Amino acid sequence: MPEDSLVLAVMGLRKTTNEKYNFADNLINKIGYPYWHKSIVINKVGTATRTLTDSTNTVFIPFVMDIENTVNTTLVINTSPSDTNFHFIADWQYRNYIYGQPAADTTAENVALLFMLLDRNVFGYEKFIITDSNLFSTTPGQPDLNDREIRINTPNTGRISTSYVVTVCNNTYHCGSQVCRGRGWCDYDSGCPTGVCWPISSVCLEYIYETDPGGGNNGSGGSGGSWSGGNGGSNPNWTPPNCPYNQSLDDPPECQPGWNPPTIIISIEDPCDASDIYSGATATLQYSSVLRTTVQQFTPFDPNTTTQDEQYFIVNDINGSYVPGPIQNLSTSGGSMQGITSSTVMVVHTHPYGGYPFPSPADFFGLANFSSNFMMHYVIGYDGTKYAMVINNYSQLQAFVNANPNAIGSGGGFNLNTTLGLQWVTMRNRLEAQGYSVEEARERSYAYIMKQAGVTLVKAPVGSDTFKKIGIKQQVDQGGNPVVNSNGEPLYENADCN
Amino acid sequence: MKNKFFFTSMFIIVFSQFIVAQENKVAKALKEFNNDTAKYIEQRIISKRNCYEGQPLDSLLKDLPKIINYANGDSPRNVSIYDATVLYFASHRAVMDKLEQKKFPMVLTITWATPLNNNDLPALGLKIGGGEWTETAYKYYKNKIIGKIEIIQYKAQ
Repeated sequence: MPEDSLVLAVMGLRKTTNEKYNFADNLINKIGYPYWHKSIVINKVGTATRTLTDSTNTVFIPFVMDIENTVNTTLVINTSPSDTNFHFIADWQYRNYIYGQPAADTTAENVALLFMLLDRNVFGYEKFIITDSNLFSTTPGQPDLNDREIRINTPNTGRISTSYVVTVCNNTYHCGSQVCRGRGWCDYDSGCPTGVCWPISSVCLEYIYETDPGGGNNGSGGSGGSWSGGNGGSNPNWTPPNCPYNQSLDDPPECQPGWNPPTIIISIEDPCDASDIYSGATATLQYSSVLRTTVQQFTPFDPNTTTQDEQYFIVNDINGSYVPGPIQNLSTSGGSMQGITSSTVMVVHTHPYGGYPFPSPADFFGLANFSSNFMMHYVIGYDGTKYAMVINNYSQLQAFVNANPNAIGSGGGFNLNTTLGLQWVTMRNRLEAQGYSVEEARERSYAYIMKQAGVTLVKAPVGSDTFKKIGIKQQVDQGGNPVVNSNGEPLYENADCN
Repeated sequence: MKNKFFFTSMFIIVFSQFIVAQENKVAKALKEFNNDTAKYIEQRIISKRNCYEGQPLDSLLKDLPKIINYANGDSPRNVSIYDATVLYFASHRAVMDKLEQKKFPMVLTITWATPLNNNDLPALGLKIGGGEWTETAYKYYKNKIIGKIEIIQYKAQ
């Protein structure tokens, strides 16, 4: 929770106006959630201690979409003893300001820097790659050929400082003996025949920048973003700016910020954390104590047909005991299970010959249709392997499924024309390229996606009733840096519980 | 043996010239879009997708920038078929980075008019899941009929 009294007051203002005008849902859909506790507060008179009676204060509240890793909009609130005004600035709106010298008032650079500072507050980024060649263009170098980055140094006057020391660097990269475009270009986008660009020089200059876009002009272009008064009786404008540029394009460059955070470094994942161990243990326990007898009554798999019906049974919690129901049939192409209630805690179904032995993406997404009491979904494969998808975090699963509404295709696999489908198929092909068999690459890339949703995939190999977590993780060296192949592609390794 | 080598060499030279000619044509077209592949795909390819749908893939390939990799979808209930293939115009890493940043991920998804049989692939030396876009891949896919051409639409998801 925010500690600053001014931020608390702003939260109160937002709450009371929302009760009156009910704008919060729209706001969240469009620009995400406010990170109140990561707000930047600037005092115009420059005192380090102040109260709500200070002459003028400005609060910048960052908004972040659920699955994004940058601040896209800030709510700027100016307070004075007599009035409170607010407006929104979106990250792309820096283009509406003059690109200028560090000393100029409210430049594109000021606005860009404000967003970088908010990104730093929310995500901890210290460094950004500048993608707009006009931004901070007073630094020497060849913007088209070099990668320019900006580093934000710790302010020397504390949290309410308006000035920051900023280091702008021009980095030069070589691909073999040839100068090439930097990060985001030749090493990533195949402009470098050898696949990897190496940084060979970095020329940096330090500037002092003032971050005060709140008091400057409001820029032009876009709708929304005009100042609103919070004290008056009229409906204040809680509409964030709409990017007016080429709406026929899904992702017009003019609606993007002119900088990127550094590539996210994947944290070193524990291949077998507490939830993984629990998942394997509970799947093993329930299988041997509750399920095994009924599983043995499934119709044996017929290797001579690919049209054998799937079978299933559900397990309900009845007065604290887990009770398996009767075996029922699904069609060859699956279908809906009957008799599911809020007391259903487990289901078990078969995967006959012709399909994959492991759970499908449709099985995985189907977990979200059960109630929060549901624990796990078992799949008995035709080849003798058994799997269970164990829900470790029900709300994470719900959020994940809601964030990917079109991810499942008509055949029960991932729809490749969605973010999730593309992530999955790319991960699967990375594994295949690394030498995994196509079956194992599929199985492990599914497990990788499930883990992102708070679901652990556990597996009991042929002849065993002991379930253990399977997965993959990015390889890292001793320094914690990702290991890559000669093309710069990250390498993965098994992340299983033993 | 000598003749076989000669014909193979001739084919490779002719194929290479064909590819170079196509690349030059696309490179020129890309220049009109300031070498912005995303804009080119959106405005040149997707806007006239009707011209390609129902046609062999080759009709589309001649207008596409250089393909780096491809990936086939799968059908969990029928391991032998797949109905879609993704064409990558950037490395896997670049695609994943762009997805993270919600930017155009430099891929095009082709849904085939009828699902393709992946049992054909290993005999040709092609991986079931896909891989690098090679001459062999080109020869196999060029006559397959396009059902639908799509790009990732973040807002629609």
